[in-house]
Amino acid sequence: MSTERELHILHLYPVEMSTYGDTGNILALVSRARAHGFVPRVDRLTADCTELPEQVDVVVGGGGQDSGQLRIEAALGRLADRFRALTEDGAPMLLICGMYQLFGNSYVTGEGTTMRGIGVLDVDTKAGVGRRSDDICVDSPEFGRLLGYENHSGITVLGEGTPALGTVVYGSGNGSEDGTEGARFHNLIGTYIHGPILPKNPAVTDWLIRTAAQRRYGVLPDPVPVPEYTEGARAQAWEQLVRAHPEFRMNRH
Amino acid sequence: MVGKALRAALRALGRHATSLPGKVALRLSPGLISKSLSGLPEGVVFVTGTNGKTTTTSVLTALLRAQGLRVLTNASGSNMRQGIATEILNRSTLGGRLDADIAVLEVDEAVAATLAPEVHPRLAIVLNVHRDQLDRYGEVDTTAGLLAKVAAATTGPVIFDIDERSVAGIAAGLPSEQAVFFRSRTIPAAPPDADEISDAPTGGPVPQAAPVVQLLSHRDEQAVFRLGEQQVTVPLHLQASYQVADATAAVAALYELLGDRVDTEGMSRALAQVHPAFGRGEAFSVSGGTIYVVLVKNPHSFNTVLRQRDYDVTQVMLAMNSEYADGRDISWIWDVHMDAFRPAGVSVSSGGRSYDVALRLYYDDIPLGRVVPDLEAGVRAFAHGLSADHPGIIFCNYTSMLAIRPVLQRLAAVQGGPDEH
Repeated sequence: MSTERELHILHLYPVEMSTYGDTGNILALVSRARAHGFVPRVDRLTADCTELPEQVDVVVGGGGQDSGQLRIEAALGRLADRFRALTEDGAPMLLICGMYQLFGNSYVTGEGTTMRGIGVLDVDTKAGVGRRSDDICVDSPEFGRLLGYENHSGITVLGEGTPALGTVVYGSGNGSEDGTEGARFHNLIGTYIHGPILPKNPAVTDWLIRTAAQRRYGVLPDPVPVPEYTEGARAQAWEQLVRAHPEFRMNRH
Repeated sequence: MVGKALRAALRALGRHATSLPGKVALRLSPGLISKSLSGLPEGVVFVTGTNGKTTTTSVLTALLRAQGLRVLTNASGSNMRQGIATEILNRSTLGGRLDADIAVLEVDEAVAATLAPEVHPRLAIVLNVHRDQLDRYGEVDTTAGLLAKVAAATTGPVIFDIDERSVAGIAAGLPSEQAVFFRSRTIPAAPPDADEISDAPTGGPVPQAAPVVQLLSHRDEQAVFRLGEQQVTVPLHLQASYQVADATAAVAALYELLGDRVDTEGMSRALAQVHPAFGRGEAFSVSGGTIYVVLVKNPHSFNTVLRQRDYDVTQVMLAMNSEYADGRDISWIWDVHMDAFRPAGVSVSSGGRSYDVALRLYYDDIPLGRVVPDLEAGVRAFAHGLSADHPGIIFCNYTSMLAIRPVLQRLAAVQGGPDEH
């Protein structure tokens, strides 16, 4: 008999694609899944995998270097149809930076190499001039204010009909002139927010857990209070942002 | 050209750990560094790479001084152009000549890439490429590219650890007679852990060449080195594998510079003086017990220190800022294997990112006593709660260390200095 309800978290290519502390997202998901009464299981997708695990409830992919992205391009391409089916079936996914780019149509690197994305998201990315490495703050209609750090050279253009995750309050985000950050499609989130994003933005973590629970078990779990340190960390992130960028402080008025 | 009087004034300013005189001098005379160093009869040695620059530089300096050479070197933390210029001013005669035979300089990776083509070092030690302050340099691959430029601009040998995969690609890009290898591992390598795997893209094939200098054994603080054809037995008090590698790099450089002219007794005398503290730590004895301050600037250096011993009875404080000098991106704390702290927990989290650290610990089920954002109050709280049975350790990054040391100095008489100065 099984009263234990498992939630299976699929971590995409942790060896190649977790350069910027993005493993923290997995720790946060595991902890919050437990807090919501589920038994979390983490599966690691490696470059030699040709099939997805049987049960996939939340998909998480992090950022990596261009060289890491090149090494998983083909591996990811082989699973394109599986990820498209999962997306259309409503599986929640969080794809950060390099993974966000590779779930799009294409990514042209700084050296001019074109990587083919798997086209689940209708976005196109090109490496811009210079690297954006700074605090980022985004307001999202679904998740409220998001705080973190961005570190990328990509400029991402959203396809018509693909909404952004939010609008940039401070930072570059998608890097295009429209002031957008990230992308949304079904229950998929693409974003440039590292930091890592989930520990400091539990609204996103809990949405991933609750969406996964509803899809798998047909019930929406009750909200659970966030860890007590969350507000302190968010306040410090904001304080550091404002202190490092006095010009931003002046522009706010 | 900087006038004599100004030079003297700048020298007076520059006695103590400030890069201001160097900054002023470089504005007046942008070619100051290369012009001054070009007069050195025995040339210039660069030490660069992510981790170990300070230890390697100080051991090589001690080795060369014991051979009777007058060595110009720079203190840890002044490895950018302004700091190097300040050291040059300190060591210049009023006539502008350097009072030295050779320079051994620890040089920041990005600075080294542009300074090497101006200075033409006769020898370079390229230690490793690990993730460090990625928000400043972009990617690990970018740093490897910077170090390849240093290697290409070096006129003589470039020294590599044969077992350090992160720089193997740089060595492979050099003419075979220019790439010189040493080996400090006396046992086969352990499998790499995750942070080393993610550093791997910069690595190349395992070099086929034989090491010129090799550590044959290291037991009871006695090391046997093979230098070319001869074997030398010397004292070596360093224990941590990364410090032993740094010392071996310095011995390899000594051998490349002097060849069979190396006075092995001098070598032995110099190495006998090299002592490890706690990691790179400085010890302060306060009323409650002893507190070590250990600088950890990136996940690799933090994880390396954590592997050296158990922390199951140690009292730990973490002090993390994210100022520009620390690297603004604090995300690297998630790549540190904090589970080493799980048995005893962390007593205090302090600094501008104290709540980020608190979340890091919370999400990894590691107990945390208190969050005290203000560093001075944090140090005082930690010292106050210290039990005399076990040492306390403060792991801190750069700017938090600057804030913490004066507080500890006020709380205590300094027991011992850092091992490397």
